Amino acid sequence: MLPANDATGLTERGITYTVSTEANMTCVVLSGYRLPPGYDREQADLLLRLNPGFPDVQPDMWWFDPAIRLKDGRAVKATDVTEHHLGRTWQRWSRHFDAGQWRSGTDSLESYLALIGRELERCVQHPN
Amino acid sequence: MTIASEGYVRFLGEAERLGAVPIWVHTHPGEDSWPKASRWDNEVDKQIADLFRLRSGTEYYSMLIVSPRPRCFTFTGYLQSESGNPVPFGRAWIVGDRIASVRAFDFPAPPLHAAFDRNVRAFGGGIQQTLADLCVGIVGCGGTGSAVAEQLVRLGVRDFVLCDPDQLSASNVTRVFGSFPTDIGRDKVDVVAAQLARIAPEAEIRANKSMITSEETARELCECDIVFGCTDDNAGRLVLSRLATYFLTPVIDCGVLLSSGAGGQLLGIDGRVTTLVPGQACLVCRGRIDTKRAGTELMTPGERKRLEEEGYAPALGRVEPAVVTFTTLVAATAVSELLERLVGYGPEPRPSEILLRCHDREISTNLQEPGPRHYCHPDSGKLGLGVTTPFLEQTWPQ
Repeated sequence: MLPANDATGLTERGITYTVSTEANMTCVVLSGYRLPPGYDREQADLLLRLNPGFPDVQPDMWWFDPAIRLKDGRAVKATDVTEHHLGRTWQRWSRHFDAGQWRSGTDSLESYLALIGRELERCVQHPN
Repeated sequence: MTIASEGYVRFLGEAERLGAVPIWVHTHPGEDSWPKASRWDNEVDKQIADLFRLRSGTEYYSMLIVSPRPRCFTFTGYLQSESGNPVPFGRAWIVGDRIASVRAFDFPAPPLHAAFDRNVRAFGGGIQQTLADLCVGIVGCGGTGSAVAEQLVRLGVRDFVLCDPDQLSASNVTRVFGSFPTDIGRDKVDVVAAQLARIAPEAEIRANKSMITSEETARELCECDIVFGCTDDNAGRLVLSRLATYFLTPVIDCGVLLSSGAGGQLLGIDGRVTTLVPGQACLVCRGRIDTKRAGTELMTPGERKRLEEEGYAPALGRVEPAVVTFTTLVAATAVSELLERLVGYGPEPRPSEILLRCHDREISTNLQEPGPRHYCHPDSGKLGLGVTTPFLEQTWPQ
């Protein structure tokens, strides 16, 4: 269900993940995704919902369960919406690619995870 | 004569890695040579068939003998499973800047029907025979697709795969060839299939009432020698773009864009015909697909509505202007592109895109290299990779 290079990439990084489909989306749940320092927990499950046509079609947003905040109790901007997917409740991180930022046919799940990691680190310094 | 295994065994391992079937190929030199297996060839096949199957991890053994002929070649060959009879190769389909079809030595062409005399006078019996041998996919059976189908069947194409999920509307009758007011409400594929059958009752037509963003329908296109993209959706174009790379299936993609002012006056009339062949940029590299819209097109209606309301997805569903004159012009340009690549009457280097700016009465052409690191680039290892898991190495709706 995932392109081979994405599946291989996750496995090589020792990430435990499951893939399923719901409402036309390919849902990848990364169990126990390790958060950077500065959040109120060390890890949470990370949900990526990939449109049909990924990796040509860019991914949009990501979700955490349980919901995460900064260690000092502050909420991060644009993470206040709760959604239900795969029979679970998720905190939605509304983050979107600018035009031209996602390189269709070149970028992959690895690029997306790198972007998520960078954004999580940035939000520790600039939550709003 | 003995054939040392060092020469080929490592390629059997490579075939296993790719999930491919290796073909044992040799030539019988000389333009008057006999391209069929000798007793010695049969002996070699017996000796190496099991080794080929074992080392490449496939149940098939395949061989091919090629002999030169003036300006071309001829061949025989077969594919054989462990328990089955050999399945002979009937035709070679050669895809590059030019495209060509060569019948196997054992499959001589039947005589051409006299009706095609005017075509034969124009481009020769060989091209006419190729047209008769082709299996052509047409994705989208509206104004452009129906005009492509109509021309192809009159040219002599006799094997079609049609894809379109929609029914014919009253507005479609103003553009769809072979449609009548009495057809309103019928599936477009059935309307076009009926027209093809009226012109050529012997034609084989497979009509898929579905979008090629469904994996099952996309797989149907693997059987085609060439595919015409006559769809106006971005998600379908993403599939066509990958198909051209993974299956080396030439795709001739059409686009028509009319721009109108609020009062209904035409401001721009643009047509585009892009040919996807190995070594040329795909539709993504050319920026011909709005990937954001493609993503929205494939969402469930509920999700799309929710994200549109939040401002996170582009609104779809605009009704675009369309006029039979321009859909037909673009369709004729696309079919001409097939003929040019078969016949080779045009200048070189051969452009891979034609832009029609009808409002200015201007035509321009261009060539574009594949983007570095992109799937359509020869270095990507994706050219001709064939069936992968997932199909076309992308995600699919359920």
